[in-house]
Amino acid sequence: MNGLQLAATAAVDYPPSQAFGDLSQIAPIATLAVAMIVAILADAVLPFPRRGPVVMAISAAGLVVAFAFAFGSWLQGGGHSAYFGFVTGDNFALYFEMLFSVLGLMTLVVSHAYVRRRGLYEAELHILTLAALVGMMALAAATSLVTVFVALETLSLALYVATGYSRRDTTSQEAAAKYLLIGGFASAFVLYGMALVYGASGSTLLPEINKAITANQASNPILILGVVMLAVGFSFKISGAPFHQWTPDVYQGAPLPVTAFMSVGTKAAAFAMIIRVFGSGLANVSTEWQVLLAFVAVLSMVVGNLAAIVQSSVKRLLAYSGIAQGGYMLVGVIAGGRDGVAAVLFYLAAYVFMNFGAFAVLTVLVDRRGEHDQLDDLTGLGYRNQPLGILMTVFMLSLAGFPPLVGFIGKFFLFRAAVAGGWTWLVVIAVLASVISVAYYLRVVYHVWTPSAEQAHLRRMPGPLVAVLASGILALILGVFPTLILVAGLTGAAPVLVAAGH
Amino acid sequence: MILTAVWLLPALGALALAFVPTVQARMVAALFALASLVLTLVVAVGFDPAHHGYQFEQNVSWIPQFGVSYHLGVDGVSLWLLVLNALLTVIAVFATDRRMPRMRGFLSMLLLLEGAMAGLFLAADLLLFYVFWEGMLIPAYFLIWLWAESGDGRRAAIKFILYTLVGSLLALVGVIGEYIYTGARSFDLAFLATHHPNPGIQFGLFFLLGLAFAIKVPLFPFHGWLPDAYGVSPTPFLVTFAGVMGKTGAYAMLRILIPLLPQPQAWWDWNAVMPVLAVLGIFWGALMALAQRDLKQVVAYSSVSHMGFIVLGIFSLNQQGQQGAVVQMLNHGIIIPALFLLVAWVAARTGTRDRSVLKDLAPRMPVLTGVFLIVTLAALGLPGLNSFVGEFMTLLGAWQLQPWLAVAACVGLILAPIYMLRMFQGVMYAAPGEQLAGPLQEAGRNQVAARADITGSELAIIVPLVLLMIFLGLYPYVVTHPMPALGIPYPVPWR
Amino acid sequence: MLSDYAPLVIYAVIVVGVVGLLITLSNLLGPQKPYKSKLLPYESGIVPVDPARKRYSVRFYLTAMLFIIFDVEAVFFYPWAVVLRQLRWYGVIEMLVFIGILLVALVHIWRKGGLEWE
Repeated sequence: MNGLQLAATAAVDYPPSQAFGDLSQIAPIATLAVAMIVAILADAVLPFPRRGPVVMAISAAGLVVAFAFAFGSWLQGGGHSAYFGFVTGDNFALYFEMLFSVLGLMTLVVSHAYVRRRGLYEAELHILTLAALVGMMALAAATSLVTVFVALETLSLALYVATGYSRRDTTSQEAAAKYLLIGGFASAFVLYGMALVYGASGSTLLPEINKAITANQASNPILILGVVMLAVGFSFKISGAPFHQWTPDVYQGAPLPVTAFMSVGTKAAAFAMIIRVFGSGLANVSTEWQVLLAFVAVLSMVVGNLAAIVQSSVKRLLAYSGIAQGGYMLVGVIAGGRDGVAAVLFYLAAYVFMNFGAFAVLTVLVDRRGEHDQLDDLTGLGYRNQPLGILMTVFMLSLAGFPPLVGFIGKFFLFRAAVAGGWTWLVVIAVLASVISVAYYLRVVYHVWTPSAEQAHLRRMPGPLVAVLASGILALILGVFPTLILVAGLTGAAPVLVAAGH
Repeated sequence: MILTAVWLLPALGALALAFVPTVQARMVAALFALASLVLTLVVAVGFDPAHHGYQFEQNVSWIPQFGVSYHLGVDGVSLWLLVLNALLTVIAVFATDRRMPRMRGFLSMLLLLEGAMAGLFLAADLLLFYVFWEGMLIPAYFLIWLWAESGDGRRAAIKFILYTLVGSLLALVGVIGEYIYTGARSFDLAFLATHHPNPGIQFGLFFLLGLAFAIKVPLFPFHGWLPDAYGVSPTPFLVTFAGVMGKTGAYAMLRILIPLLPQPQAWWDWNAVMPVLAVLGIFWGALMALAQRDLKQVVAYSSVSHMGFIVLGIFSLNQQGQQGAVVQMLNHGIIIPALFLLVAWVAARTGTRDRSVLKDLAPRMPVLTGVFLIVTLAALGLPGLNSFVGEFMTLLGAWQLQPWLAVAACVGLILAPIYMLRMFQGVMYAAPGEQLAGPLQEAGRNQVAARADITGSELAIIVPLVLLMIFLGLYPYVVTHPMPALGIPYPVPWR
Repeated sequence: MLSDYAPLVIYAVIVVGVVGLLITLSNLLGPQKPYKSKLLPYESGIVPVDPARKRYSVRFYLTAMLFIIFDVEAVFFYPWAVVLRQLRWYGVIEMLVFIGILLVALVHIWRKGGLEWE
């Protein structure tokens, strides 16, 4: 009895009350989508000078309302599955929706200042950001392979365009082309994997897949091939080694706010997808994907950290650091369980603030001639603008995992879950890899505090400064009082595990 | 609450320095350092030697989901180390040259370091301990790198931080392993001390945790970072760096390795390996000290040798040895900063730290020579001065464990007078008729004017340390008396 | 599980086999008398004037892309039309929303000059 026959025989009973109930489950996503459409209209009909500010205001309002919806639902204990199980408004989704709303707001202010200084159009960048955010949120909320894929493409397409946003800049163009090709390649892998998993399980709904696939099906070659394909595709998306080669080029070529946004946003969304698909849909063949992900994790941590050491561009350095950080987070995914998933959720939030903050610092260095993302451009930053130098130091130390900053606590949660899950060897590799990472994070710090001939004070940029300051303060506060987010992470982790039958 | 103030006050001082003008920075830093010294003395006065368990406890849940608590407490082991930390920071602040570049940053890093180390001595929770343990690396890194007084500060700083991080990140695995494998699901030290995993697990955890502590001490053969780091460090920082941070490793051994992992046996017994490494360290440090020409390196390697005694005492696994180790930690924390200060003052007056060039300084700086003599004698363990007490107790403990270990350590004790007295004699005196050689003669003449003795302010800095050497040598009871008041149960109870 | 796909494999083998056979046979058995006009690319009987591989203005691509986007969206109307009766009013509203979004896109393209040739 498949869906087509059902539709042909009887009228679908879908009363308005259920329609509203379903809509309320995706309220944050719907809000953002509406905001985006309104913004597109505004961009089309308003006179040119007013487009940028108005679109920014609409975007900001949409993000605030989306956050409010998500937070309200969160306070009421979270939502439930909607649209016949295709999406959900559970706490896991809400956690990411709130996180992405905050990220979106930070991106707005940074983009605003950036386009002003570079002389680029403003409105479209905000619209693209909103579109990507819709995709990210939908990805976190998707509970069917179909919605997962649609959300993934929504987010990817918006980012392909955003990467090439600096149109006169050939590196930006090159990055966009590269990203498009590799992204399409990865999507093909994901789609193929989904098709195979569907073939093996007979459903696209993750809970149904979980029920259909029992542990003794681990020898089913179709299923295993599907899992491998999915793992490869997902690894592309989180830029895990050996599928990471596109990352440094794309991060370097994309305009700074886009890099900042996608380096944390895509990663968070992709991890939401991995946890959702692997953790709840394919929980019964966890041994199989754990091995695959462990391989990717080890390689990411080693390759990412080693390659970052020799970079001269901070953007590339952070790209490689992001590869390695993805490896750490995979450790948490592999560990699984409530603690493991909560640790990944916590680390993602931490990563958003640390990494975005670091990129936002670079935004302040932008001027009409372009971006200044070489390590040498940072030389003496601590003396040219002391607060900025201190904050950059905070971000680097936090990424390196020094207490009392949030990066340390995040790593502690990840490693704790992994040791408890019996993955001690993986943790040992992770800590040794993070020793390597200290070398290049401190290299950035070294440049920041090396006196330079350039003594001119930097032009003030209120927007990025606010984002940097907020990120820095959060990196410290969450390091000292981690329970603020940890509780949310544990709550957010629960629905995935319930779905997986733990 | 007072314990929170003890570590938070210097940290706040570091923050406050960002808001004061550079000219007043030294004064503000001194105020904060003195205030925290007063706080620690208040703790010391209020300390009850008869009480068992932590005193002035503060226990607040920090991450309740994972059994982490913000648990501070002071006991007989940590009490005097806490005071030492505060005292040395005061001295370091006063020893800071007025012409120090980027003064505010330097002082705030010093205070931050004090705060982190105080927190480390106070922590009664394993994860909290680890947070402070890692936290103190940050100011230390910046102090070595940005304020290096000679040589390649960046290289030394990176070497220091990579060395220590290899250890301490593995220690994080150890900390987590302790939490998982004891089945206790708690990081409380007192609780963990009564819940031991099986010896095989202990063996692994001992390695993970012990490596970090051994690197920090540093125990032979993990001392590679020390000559570089000590060599480039500015003297005021060395006062707390060599004086206190080296002790944190030994303190961690005594506080964590001994009570939490009493039977680390699988392929071999770690408890039997450590004393051997300690004795090797005593020898190696002494021999390397003999071979050095740079005065600073002589002191640095003598520190390696002395730390060997401390570790030997700790792993003698009996009361005399371990108490001796604590006493020796304090003594070493008093003597080594004094030596570094004196070497720095000599170098400031002569323009060199090369032992083979310096000669016959005594007539030109008689008071400095006198002070140097007392400190030298204290360092080589003359009875009546403080170091003798600690070394004696340590050797007594070692004898009970293995007589041949004590004998071997005594041979190391003989090497100490050789390198210390050779240094003192060579620098301060000259054989009759001996002259400074060649072009260095000129340099020496020009820089060391007729009389370039110690200044009043320098004297004010060093005299408290010298008085402490004499006082503790004559009356060590002050230190040993509160020691049996332990916060956590030990395998060997202290009486 | 895999055996379920056996008919598909057999079908594929037959297709490849038959088509391959036909092409091979026609090549082997048919008379082959090539001359110039026979070898020219077939363009509905018109004689080609220049090579087919030449550069087109990028505007063609833009137009083509816009066409494809709206074309693909239009595909959704077909399944919708089939089940409209079952979906009842909800389906109508959904489709109105969908068309509304498409309209916004059209307005945007129009205002941004995407429909102008120059």
